[in-house]
Amino acid sequence: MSFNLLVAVSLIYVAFLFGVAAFAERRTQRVGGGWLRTPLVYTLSLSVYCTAWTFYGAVGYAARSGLEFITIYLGPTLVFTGWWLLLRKLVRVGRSQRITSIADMISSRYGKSNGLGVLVTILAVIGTTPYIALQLQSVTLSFGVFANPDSEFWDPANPASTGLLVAFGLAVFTIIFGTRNLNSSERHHGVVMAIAVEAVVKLLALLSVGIFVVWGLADGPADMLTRIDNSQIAGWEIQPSRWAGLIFTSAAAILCLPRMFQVIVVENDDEAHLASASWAFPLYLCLMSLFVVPIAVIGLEQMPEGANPDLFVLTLPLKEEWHGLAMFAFLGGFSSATSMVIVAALALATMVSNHVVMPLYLRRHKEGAVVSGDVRAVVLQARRFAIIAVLLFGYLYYRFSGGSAALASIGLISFVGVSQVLPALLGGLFWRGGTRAGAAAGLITGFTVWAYTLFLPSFGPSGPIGSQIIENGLFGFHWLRPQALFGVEGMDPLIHTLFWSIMLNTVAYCWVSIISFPTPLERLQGAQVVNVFEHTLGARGWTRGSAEAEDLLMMAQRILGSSEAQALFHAEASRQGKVGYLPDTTPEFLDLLERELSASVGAATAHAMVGQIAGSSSILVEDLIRVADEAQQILEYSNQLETQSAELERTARQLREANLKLTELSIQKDAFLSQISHELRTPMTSIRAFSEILREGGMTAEETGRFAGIIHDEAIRLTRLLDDLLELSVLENAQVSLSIGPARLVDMIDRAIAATGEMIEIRADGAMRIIRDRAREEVSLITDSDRLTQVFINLIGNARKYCDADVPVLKIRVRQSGGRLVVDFIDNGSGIPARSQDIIFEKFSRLSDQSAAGGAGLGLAICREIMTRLGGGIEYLPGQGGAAFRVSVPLAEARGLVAAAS
Amino acid sequence: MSGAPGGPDGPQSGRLPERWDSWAEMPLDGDDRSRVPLFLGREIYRRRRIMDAARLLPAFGTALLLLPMLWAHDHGTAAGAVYTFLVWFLLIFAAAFLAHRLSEPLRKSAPPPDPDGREH
Repeated sequence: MSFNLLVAVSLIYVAFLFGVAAFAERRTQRVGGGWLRTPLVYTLSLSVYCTAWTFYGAVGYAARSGLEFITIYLGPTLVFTGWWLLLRKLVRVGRSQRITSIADMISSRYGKSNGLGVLVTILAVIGTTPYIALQLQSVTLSFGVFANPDSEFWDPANPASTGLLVAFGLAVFTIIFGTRNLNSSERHHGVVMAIAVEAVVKLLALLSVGIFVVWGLADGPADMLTRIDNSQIAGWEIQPSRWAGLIFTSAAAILCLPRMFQVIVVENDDEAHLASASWAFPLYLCLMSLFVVPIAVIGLEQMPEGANPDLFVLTLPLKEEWHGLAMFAFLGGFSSATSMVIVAALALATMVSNHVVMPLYLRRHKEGAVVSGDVRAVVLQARRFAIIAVLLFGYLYYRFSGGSAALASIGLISFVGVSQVLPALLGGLFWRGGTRAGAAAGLITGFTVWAYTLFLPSFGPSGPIGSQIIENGLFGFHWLRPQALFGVEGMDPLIHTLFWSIMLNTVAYCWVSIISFPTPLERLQGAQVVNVFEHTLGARGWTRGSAEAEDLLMMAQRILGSSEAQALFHAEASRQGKVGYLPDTTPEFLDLLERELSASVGAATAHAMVGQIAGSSSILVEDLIRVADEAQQILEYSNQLETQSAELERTARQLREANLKLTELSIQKDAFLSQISHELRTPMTSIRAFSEILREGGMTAEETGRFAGIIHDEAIRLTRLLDDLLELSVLENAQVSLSIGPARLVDMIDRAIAATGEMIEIRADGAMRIIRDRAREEVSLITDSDRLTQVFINLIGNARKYCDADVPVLKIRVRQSGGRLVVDFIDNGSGIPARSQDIIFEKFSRLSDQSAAGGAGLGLAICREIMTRLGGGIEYLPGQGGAAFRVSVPLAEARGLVAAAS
Repeated sequence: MSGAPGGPDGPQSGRLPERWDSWAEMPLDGDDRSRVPLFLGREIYRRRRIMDAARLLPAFGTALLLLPMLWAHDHGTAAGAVYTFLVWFLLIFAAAFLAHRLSEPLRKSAPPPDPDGREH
């Protein structure tokens, strides 16, 4: 077969891919996605996982180690069948936070930290560059298979020429379709469509070769199984640690590889596609692996000793003179290599431009964000240069790494390297406690262990880690030997690295996360990522600041483009009910704008750019404290209001009570006035009548004496009434002078009982029984004994007068409590109705009981005034089975006075 | 701070008390069981169980795929390949069934929302 034909077909194929990509781009722009965005295209685009390392390398791997190659595809199968658990959340976060790359994901989750973004970017570049070199190598090797050894002007197997050409071609393709525009969804339909087509080509190519081998060279599946059992790889020398470890590594890699993150999360149009991919992608992987072992077995059987098993896919058809099939297989391998390189370069370029170039650019242009001009050009330019740089790195690595021997194992080494992102990624998705410091510690630890124990030793004895260090450890520390860390020997080097790096990484991540304290923004982002399925988060990233809408518009135009930015601002303004292009810079709007920007330049850069205008940083601790303070103030204010309203209620109740009392009093007063006028009038009437009779004369001396006696009695009654009134008025106006002196309570009560016994003779059967405890009454007081006795007289007199029991009993109870002397007067009558209990101490209040005339309703009012003067009190004691009054006098004071007196 | 009428320890107070008397009183992180109703409709219940199955599938698959570590030495590559691919197809079918059941609500609803991809 002519080599020139191969080159021609390759060029035609490349032109076809350009055409497909251009068609998809144009169609998307014209009519939207349509059938270009189906689950099928999404699933096929995931096939960038199957690189040339799969297409050629899997057969070689199988020829060397039997079934172990299959672990590389079992891990992703498990991850995809478990999509509901993990990928769904990852994709949801990626869409809601407008994630642009795996570095952006980590950076965004941990408080939009650009430092973490840079760290992951470096890790990704170091982990991916050898992998790109591997692709270039495979393309070069496959060209070499078809090469005409006689060609004198171009040796296609020469990496210097073919590798460079391929790298150049891929750079051109990626730049054209990967950096055409900076759209807000950061999806590249052209690229995705091209790799979907390539996915079909490589699957069909491998299946064709497989069918050719099983039914062409062997005699069907049964024969094939027999041949496998008779081949060199018949025995399955399984190494359990490698089997489990590689399944884990590949599962981790499909989540962490930059190119896989790009196609799974960033290019995802619809979460529902994930459901289809959950079974379709494992099916794709299964079909890709189906014929690997047969090809390897037949290759080992039929190819000459020493043939490169990596190239069996090409060399078997060639040997059988099936040139068309060989050509197809070549295109399959070419597709595998190119699709991987394109997506990887795109993903890395996005990371480099968003996390390295843009922050540097923004720092250099401090005034930056507000001046007019298009930053998009800068971003796109940065990406283009990043693509070229990544491919150049890959090419240089390939050229100077010593060729195939070193590259053969680089696939797995690269997998373990990128897996170091796994703890930070999973922790970030499911654990709100993960912090920036923890993520950085974990990444650095894992990365260091990986580099020291696996990556650097892979350069061979002449590399940075020579045999000297491998045997004796770094600086002669025996426990630091790269392949036997901490003295654990005998492990497979890859599993050794996997175990130690992931374990130390996880330990560092968890430990530092637990002991460190996250910033407010980290906690906000953590909650938004971990609780992405609960749309209950009202927390806002931005506070209403001094951001000028015009400045924001100017900045947004530079990144989103004029028309897009203006449309965005216009929509927001009209949503706010404003006319024109300048909406209010509400926190919601700032959030929206930041998300839009982050889809183009990454979360950290977008945050920094909005921050330049909207104020230094969105949430400072002070802001949070202020918010908390405001909440606290509101709480306190409402508490105050509550207290106030309670107080108002209390006051209102008191007022109501006072009003009731006043009304009652007013009625009482009216009644009293009629009563007192009656009281005054009755004696007056008899005085006037009898004095008129006396003036007329003509009576006997006996009659005169009797009439004069009546006039005298009535005058005394009037005088007593007026005396009471006068006394009360004196007491109330505090004009009374007390004569304080020592006195004994028992004497005072004796005097009071005696006085009332003399005074009151209204009740004929007047013998009221008085129950006393004289022993307890032996108390000395310093007080005005006359006044206190007067109170007692009043109370005992009232009891005698008003107690309506058949056998009236008055109980006098003396008690000391709380530094006061308490004397209760309790009778067994019907007591005072509750309605009247409030007013009995008021002036002129007299219960309607008319049975005992003579009182003017001033007695208890006088008592109260006296007790107030004496520093004590008098109150009605309800619920004692009769009328009960409690008199209390301060005792401590009295004691002090007694002591002072003696 | 303690001006609230309910007292600083009242349940409606936003601040946590300094200490609790027993473990049972301490609020657990994310302890919101009370929000989830106890009984669900049959359809939602079935859907929840399908979700459980979707979560369990990878664990089940992992166990099956790690199984050869126990017997691979006694059997050859051919037997291993047959077993592995059988498990693989089993997983694919199970995942397809679960994905089908899980996306039923999507199919029931009217045409999908504008696939513009921009959610504002």
